[in-house]
Amino acid sequence: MNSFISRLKPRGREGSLGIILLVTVGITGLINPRFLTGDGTRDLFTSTAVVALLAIGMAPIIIMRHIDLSVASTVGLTAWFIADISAKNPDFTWVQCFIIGPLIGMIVGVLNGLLVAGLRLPSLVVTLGTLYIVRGAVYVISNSVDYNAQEMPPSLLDLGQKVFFGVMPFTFLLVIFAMLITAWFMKYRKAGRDCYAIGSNPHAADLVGLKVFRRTFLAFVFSGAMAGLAGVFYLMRFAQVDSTAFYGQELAVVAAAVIGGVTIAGGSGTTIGATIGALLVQTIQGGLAAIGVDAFWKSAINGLLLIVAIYADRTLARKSERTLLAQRIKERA
Amino acid sequence: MERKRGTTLKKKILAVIAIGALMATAFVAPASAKTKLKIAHIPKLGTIGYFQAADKGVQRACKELKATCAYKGPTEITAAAQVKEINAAVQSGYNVLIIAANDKDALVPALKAARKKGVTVVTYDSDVAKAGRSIFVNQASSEGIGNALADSAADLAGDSGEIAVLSTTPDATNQNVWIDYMNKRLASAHPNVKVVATAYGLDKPEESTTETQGLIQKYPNIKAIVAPTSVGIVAAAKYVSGSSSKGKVFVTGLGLPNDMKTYIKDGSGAQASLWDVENFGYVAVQIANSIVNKKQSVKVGKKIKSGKGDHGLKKRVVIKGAVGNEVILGPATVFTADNVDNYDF
Repeated sequence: MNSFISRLKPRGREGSLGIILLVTVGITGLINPRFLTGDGTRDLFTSTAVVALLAIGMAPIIIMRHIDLSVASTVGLTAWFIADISAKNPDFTWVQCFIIGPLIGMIVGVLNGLLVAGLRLPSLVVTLGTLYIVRGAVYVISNSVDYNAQEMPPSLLDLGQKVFFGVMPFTFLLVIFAMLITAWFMKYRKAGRDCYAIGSNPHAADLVGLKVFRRTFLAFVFSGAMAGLAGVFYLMRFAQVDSTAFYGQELAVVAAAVIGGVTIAGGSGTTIGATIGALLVQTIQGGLAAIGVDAFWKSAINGLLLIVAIYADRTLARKSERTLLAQRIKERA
Repeated sequence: MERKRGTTLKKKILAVIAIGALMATAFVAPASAKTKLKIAHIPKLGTIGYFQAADKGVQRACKELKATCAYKGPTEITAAAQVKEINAAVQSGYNVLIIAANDKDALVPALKAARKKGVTVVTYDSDVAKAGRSIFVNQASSEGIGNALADSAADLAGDSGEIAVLSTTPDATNQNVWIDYMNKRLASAHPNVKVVATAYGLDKPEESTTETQGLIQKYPNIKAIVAPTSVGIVAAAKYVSGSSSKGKVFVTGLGLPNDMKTYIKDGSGAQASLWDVENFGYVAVQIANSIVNKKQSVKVGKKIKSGKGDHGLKKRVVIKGAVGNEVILGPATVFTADNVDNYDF
């Protein structure tokens, strides 16, 4: 019996997060039953896809004790650029968009990676700089021109509307795919494990000869590619874009990752957690809108959630430290 | 010595003649029967479809008046870029400027200098301070917009039932005034249509979409969503057209026909309203012509000729606006599946 219960108990942070998510969805559903209908569930997944994809890209970076604040500007850049290029090339389909998007994002990622890993500049400052540079670039090249559904490839917009089993949008299916691949990579590949080591103790990682430059550089390139793909997702979802697209949303991504248990101090967290974190934030946002709470309270509640998450994180960390310590004392004795 | 004095005297005489000639062109020429109009149309930015549509109206009026017309679109949306265009136009001898201003005050010195040289300035869409122009052509009255919103929403809801509003921010002045007029119109003309909620999408696609979802979830019986914002209306229409509410909840509001064409025609039954932008350019040029060639007064209360093609109106009344004398273009045009293809902006 005891072992049965312990088997049911959630494993690690992701398990408890999953339960919190289910409880939140349940409560929202009780207050507003329409939230749990096919449309409601599909909306939740559709509206989480962009932030979840960015959180998956950001997770390895935060795990390495870095941060990438340029992602929202990169989303804006790719979304605008793809709309522009497909407006000028009417024979473009979703295929070209899915290739060009990540490529543009990777250019920003390479720039970030070289500055952070190559010149060893603090990522907070570097990516704050590229946040402004990339957004500035969007303002300049867009020249105040915006695009709407008419000018976008119909195959891309159709794909954005595609839903499997009535609830699972194509975009979120890709998010789950990206989440599983990165989670496997981070857990079972040496390069992935290195990230945790680097984040836990960058100095020691250097001293024992881990490839700090290569890992850090590639993590930024990966985050850039994810941001580029998120730009494509943005178009698929909203079918409108101007130079302010996704402005100021970078901290929502950091919040999703942190709420999902990716420790801001580095060294722990998973992409599965980051995805659940994004879902949790969106459930609460969507739930509050469905209840009719106004915008100010929505952002205040978001902030509260973030602080609670960090508090939970600290408490859990301290608890596990104590358990480990007790275990070690027991072993010595 | 003699020779020298002679040349100076000759120069003086020449100078007097030259000045006289200049004065003659400046003061006498306008008094002659008809001045050939040379019109420079300076929009906020050259590449925006909205202003290119306005220019079609400018061209139409120019053809009627046999005037010369040029579209002088700045390449960036700044007052400085417009000042450059203004100065260049005056130097190349344009005598009418049709301007949608990027800044209320920054253009005024350049425009004042132009007017001193006898150039007639008519602003449209966005005004400058009074000293910079003869008259302003305003989009539509707030009441006209509110009425169009109410009528369109009532039309979509079948003249009874619940509707909701998706606005920008709670303190957006324009939106609040339009919503007020909309409510008044609903109360007087469509008493069975009830506004059950107002949500705020902050003029961002993300928030506007989430709020649209929230409205439909919280008020399952709403028949129409009114979004008096060009971002909000597109976000709401995009969401509805891809959800199971398509055909049950209809979207209307203020929007550009090109932005909304996809949703107006895809069977989700959306509508949009806006002033007729092409007519904007047409009326501005015709009024400029009345001022230059018909010595028309543009004081408040006067009737002013606005051309045969002005929706069959011919004349408009000058009223007192926020800055000074203006005429109103309105009423708003409602774009539906039947007429949306006639508009390209």
